[in-house]
Amino acid sequence: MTVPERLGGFKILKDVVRISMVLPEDSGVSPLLICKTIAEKKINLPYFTSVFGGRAWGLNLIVETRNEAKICRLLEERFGRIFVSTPKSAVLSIFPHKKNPEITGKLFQIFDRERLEPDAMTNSPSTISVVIKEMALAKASELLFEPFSFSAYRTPTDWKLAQKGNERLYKEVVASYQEQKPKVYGLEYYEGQDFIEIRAQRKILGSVGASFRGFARSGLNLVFFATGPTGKDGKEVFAFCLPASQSRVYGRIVQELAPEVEIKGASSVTIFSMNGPHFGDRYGIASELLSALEEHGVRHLALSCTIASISGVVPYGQKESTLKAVQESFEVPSVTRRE
Amino acid sequence: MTDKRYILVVDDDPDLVETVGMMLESKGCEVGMAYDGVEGEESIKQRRPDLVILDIMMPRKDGYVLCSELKANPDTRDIPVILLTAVGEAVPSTRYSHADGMATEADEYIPKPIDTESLWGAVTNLLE
Repeated sequence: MTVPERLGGFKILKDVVRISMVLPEDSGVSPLLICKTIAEKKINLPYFTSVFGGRAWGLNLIVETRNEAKICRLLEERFGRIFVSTPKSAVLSIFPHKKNPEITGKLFQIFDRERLEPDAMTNSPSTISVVIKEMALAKASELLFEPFSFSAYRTPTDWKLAQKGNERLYKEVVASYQEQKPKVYGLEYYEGQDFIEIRAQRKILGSVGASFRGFARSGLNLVFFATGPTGKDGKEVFAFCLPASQSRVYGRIVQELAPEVEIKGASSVTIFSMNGPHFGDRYGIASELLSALEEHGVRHLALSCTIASISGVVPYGQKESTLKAVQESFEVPSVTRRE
Repeated sequence: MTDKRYILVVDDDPDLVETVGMMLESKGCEVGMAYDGVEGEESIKQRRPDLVILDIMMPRKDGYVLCSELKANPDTRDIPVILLTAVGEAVPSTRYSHADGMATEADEYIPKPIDTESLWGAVTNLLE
């Protein structure tokens, strides 16, 4: 019998709507324009990912249900019906993943086995966040207790009991004041990484999970991953980063464990991440960052904003401009290079 | 510090726990992690930490309550506690005020966003 992996816990955000869109490069609508429009209305984005899939940006946004009508109307007025809205969604976040792809891989495999189809997924420096339909939430949270154990809750029942009466507290916004310049704890970056994209049908989730577990067995760390929305062809983009020095190793693993998966060229990138005290409850953070990147001529390949963190992937040659852009727009006490 | 000290970090922001934990480990400390007040309390019962870094606004049991309980208990009152809060003196009228924090007898009170080097300064001061 496999011993469950011990994790810290998991969080659930309910009563949310997923808004997804694919923005072709030549459409004139950029991720920045979308985020700016939402920030103008002072609406917080508890989950936002943007993945560049070669010729278009794939965006997944999560907003509170009470803001759905307002946002959809606004986006439609400004840009036309370029999005799909999926009501009754939820975000399930488990932590900490310790950059160990074994944890992400196990999660993918168990979801695949039970035919639970996540609508979107990404990670932050410590957390894996999965967007699923609210009707699948109970099953998904119970399933977590199979591959994982949680120090605070021994069983799904323990967890449910602990949540009673706390739903309102989780949503309480206690300190949502606006600083002139948003504060962060520190800016970290990783060099020597490859940005890898897979474009495939969702049904390959189990194979991707097997590959991720293979990466773990070879000692590879997974610093970043995010998925884009499903395109018209029914395929979606899985984007992730692995150490460039191990390209032969990860290539062989994918070939062995997921032969149906085709890796779309890997490019050398820098990953940056930052965590801020008000990122979870403040509006406009993603817009602020995208504006700063644009001003410095940086074109992100992928961006992930969840819980209280932002992680981004930029071409390796744009590392210095990226760090400068972030430092000019955010109050950054330290910049740390991570291995 | 020459011996390996055990520090417990309690915060409901997993990314902050990760950031602080990495900093403390890089300084040679052993780090325990908990993600809410109840879990922090359980963790302290299982293994007595040399110091606790405690967030204020957390689900289930907030940092003020846990800190007050630790300081009221003769077995744990001498464990140094550093309280972290996103609510500085500049924001006095929220549910979690700066004045409330001072009343918990925490050994140090650091407003967020913390500068990890300043936090390390506070940790070494309290452990020496």
